[in-house]
Amino acid sequence: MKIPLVWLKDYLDIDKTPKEIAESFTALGLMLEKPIENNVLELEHRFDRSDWLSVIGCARDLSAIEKKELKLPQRHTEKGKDGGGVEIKVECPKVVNRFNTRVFRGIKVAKSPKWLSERLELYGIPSINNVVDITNFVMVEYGQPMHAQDLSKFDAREIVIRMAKKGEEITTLDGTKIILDPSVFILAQNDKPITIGGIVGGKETAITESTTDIILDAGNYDQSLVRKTARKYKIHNETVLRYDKFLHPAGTQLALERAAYLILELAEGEYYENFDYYPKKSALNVSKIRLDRIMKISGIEFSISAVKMTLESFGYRLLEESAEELTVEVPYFRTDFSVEDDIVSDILRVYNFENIPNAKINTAPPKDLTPEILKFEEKIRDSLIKLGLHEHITNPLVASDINDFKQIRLENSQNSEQDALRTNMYDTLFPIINTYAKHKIFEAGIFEVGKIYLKEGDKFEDLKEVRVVEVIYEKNSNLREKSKYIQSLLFGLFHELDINNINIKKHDDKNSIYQGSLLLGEIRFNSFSLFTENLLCALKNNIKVVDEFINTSEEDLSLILEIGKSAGDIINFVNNFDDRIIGLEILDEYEDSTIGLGKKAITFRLKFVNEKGITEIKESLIRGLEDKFGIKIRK
Amino acid sequence: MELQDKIDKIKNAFFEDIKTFEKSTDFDALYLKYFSKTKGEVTNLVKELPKLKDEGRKTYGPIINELMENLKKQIEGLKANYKNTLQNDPFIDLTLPANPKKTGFLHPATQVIREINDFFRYYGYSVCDGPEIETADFNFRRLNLPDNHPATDLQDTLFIMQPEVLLRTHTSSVESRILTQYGPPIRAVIPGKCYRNETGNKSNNSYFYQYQGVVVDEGITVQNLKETITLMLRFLFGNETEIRCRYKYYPEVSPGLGFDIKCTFCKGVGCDVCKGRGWLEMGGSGMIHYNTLKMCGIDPEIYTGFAFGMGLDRMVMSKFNISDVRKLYSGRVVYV
Repeated sequence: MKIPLVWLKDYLDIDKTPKEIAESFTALGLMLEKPIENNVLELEHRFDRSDWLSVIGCARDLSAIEKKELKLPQRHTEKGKDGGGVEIKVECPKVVNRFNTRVFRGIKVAKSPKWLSERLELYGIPSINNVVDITNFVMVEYGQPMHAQDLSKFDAREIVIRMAKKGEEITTLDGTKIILDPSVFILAQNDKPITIGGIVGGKETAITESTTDIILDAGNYDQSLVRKTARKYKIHNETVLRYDKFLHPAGTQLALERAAYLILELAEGEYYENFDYYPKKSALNVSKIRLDRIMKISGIEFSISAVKMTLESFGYRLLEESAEELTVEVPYFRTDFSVEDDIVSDILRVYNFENIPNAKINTAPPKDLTPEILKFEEKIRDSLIKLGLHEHITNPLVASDINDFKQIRLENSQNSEQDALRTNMYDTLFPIINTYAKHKIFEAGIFEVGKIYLKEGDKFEDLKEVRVVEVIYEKNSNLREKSKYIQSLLFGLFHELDINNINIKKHDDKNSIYQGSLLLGEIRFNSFSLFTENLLCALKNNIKVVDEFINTSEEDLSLILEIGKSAGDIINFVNNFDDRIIGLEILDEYEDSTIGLGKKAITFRLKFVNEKGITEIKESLIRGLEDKFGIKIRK
Repeated sequence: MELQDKIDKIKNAFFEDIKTFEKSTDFDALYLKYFSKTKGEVTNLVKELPKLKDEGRKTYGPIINELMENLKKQIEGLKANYKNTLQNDPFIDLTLPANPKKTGFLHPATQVIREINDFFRYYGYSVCDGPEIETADFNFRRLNLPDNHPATDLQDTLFIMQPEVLLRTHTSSVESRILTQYGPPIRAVIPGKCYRNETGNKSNNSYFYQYQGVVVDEGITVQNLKETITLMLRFLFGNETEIRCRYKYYPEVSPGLGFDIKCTFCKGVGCDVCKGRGWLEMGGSGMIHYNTLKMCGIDPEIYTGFAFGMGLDRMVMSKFNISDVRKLYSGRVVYV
């Protein structure tokens, strides 16, 4: 909202510098949007206070904090003559709360006086002629949009407010042709659209230099429909800016009275009453304001007289008073009001939040709610850092892929490269390897701890967020070397996290990582991904007896295996063979002429608890391996 | 066996051992072989002394003592000798730097999150998290933002199923969840990803990190909020940091407060970076709205609370000198 200081001073005697005025506005909640220029303050609007889209509204709050009197402008409050003669028919009563009109005859359209054109131009609205300028001026002054039309352009003496028919057309004031549909409401005369309701007027009935008779209207409409329509046609103007907020129907009366005063002053003519469509009167809000509530929110004791003074300067009307509380009527323009605390806010705004002291919380800290998974994921990060990997965070938003039936897509993304959620983390993380390569780093290990998003059905409950850690390792080397390294990272991580009894199963092209029947993730030749929630379960499943004095013995075994056959099941078999086998370490994997073509040897070291019967276990293990897998064992 | 024989035997054995140990560095094993308290061979000799008659003790005492001193001296000598060899090895040059053994790096965002988490953990806050795919209920309605309210314009929402299922636009959605789930007293912080429907530019991304805090208890006031914000900002930007609180509307709080630090570029004079304000906006906060508490099942006449939130990305960018927010999450920042 732009506030030309010369305009602001029409309502308030203030001799502070523009910077000081900006500081007072800031304390009130109206912070500068940009540096001050030409003695115009541009203040940030937060969509709550529709009266802060008016100069008077801003002046009123300033008057409260500066303890200065607010001087309201002159209005023409006397009734006009009977016989306006334009009938108003509202066919869409759900949309129109009020449609308030006046008629003027015999006016003189001319240039605006300097004080008027200057104020509008400082605000940023070009001056056109006295009548149009007055409607714009009053809109910015009171925050209530208004609209003047040339009555001589009307074929019928009526305005019908109705939903548009499909295909109806209107040419707006700036010459744009718009094709309407039934989701939009319009003002029509002789069954022709003359205005898009709450949005923009049409060219046909616009005021010109030869205009003598006009109808002036100020409406109050369903703000959500104005919002939707404006967005649909991408029309953003001063009218929409105000009509898509919550305005009170009472504002139309004041605005018309003010405009009537100015028209009679500047354009002369005669003034007639006309229809005021206002079927359901909107009552004003009434609220209590308790001193102990103010205390509860601010920790500060206020006197009832101080509260009364502040509220009156904001325009609240006192209804009842006791030692402990007031009952007040909330002014019509405060459509932001919903609870007593909003009135507390008004009192504290004038007190100024800067003047409220600081105080420590004096209750004991409550119990810790931090979920275990969050702590565990930090541990995963630390473990991977120790293994020399760098953490990255990548964008979970990706381009949609129609072949990915598990993908969750966004309905309204403005960016076609980011209109879906990732279903795996490899694809968003892998491109980072190229960045390393550009920096001439050809060996890089990276990881991300985050989420992937899967659609398992059409309901909200079927949209799953899965916690994942993805690790990628790349190096200029052959696949065997790379895959050995990624395996050592995987088992390094398990070692760091103290997760045991891992086995890897190959089915089809996938190598899945399990602990028992618990799926932990998947390993590929250059990467692996793990479900962190399942890892946490795996950690809890760890049954590990720690005994310092455990006495162990070791035994090396060599298996001869066909190349291409996966060893995962064999390792799993050995690991689960007997509780007294407490460790398995792969020592070597090799092929040579002594083993035979198409075969390889894997040497591993078993660690046993030293107990009686170990020899038997070893023997039956070897028998078991030979029987179950048909493989040769070299001792 | 006569004691003298034993002494001679030990002497001989030690002489042999020295030959083999000469090239080894395992001096401790050698020491233990002779002087271990339980099994050391010389120790065993000493243990035999009390069994001798007075005369024997007088004879062998000094001999064994001398043996002990002698052997220990020889072991020390070996050690010193070994050290000398090391220092004299012409191939060892400890002045020549080597490639460091490298560990990895945490992402800048993780580092900053941890730093702030640590601060709040110290003050008894939990660290919480919630879903990114949210309902309009938790993201808007429970936060006092009814459908079609003009303030929904403050956040351009990315929808999965309009108008009910969306990507959370702020971490406040987690606030409404934990208020609903746990009830007071609560002290929690929520670092997390949020999403807005924006085409990315240098300082805006369609996804970003927010850091949220929430406290609900009996007797919580604006004064506690101001103290918390002050401590946090001084922790982040230094003890000398000047801080300003002002009223600012946010739907989920009433009253709402914005907090600023004095502009680091113009020192408060007013410049383009701070939009002429002289202050840099750090985040938003306020007393949790009466209706929000009620909708989350908490009695607002008994409990009060505050919430605050701030964008993390700009903080991370300034801390790590990153000029473009998109770099932060596209992997264009690498660790070399």
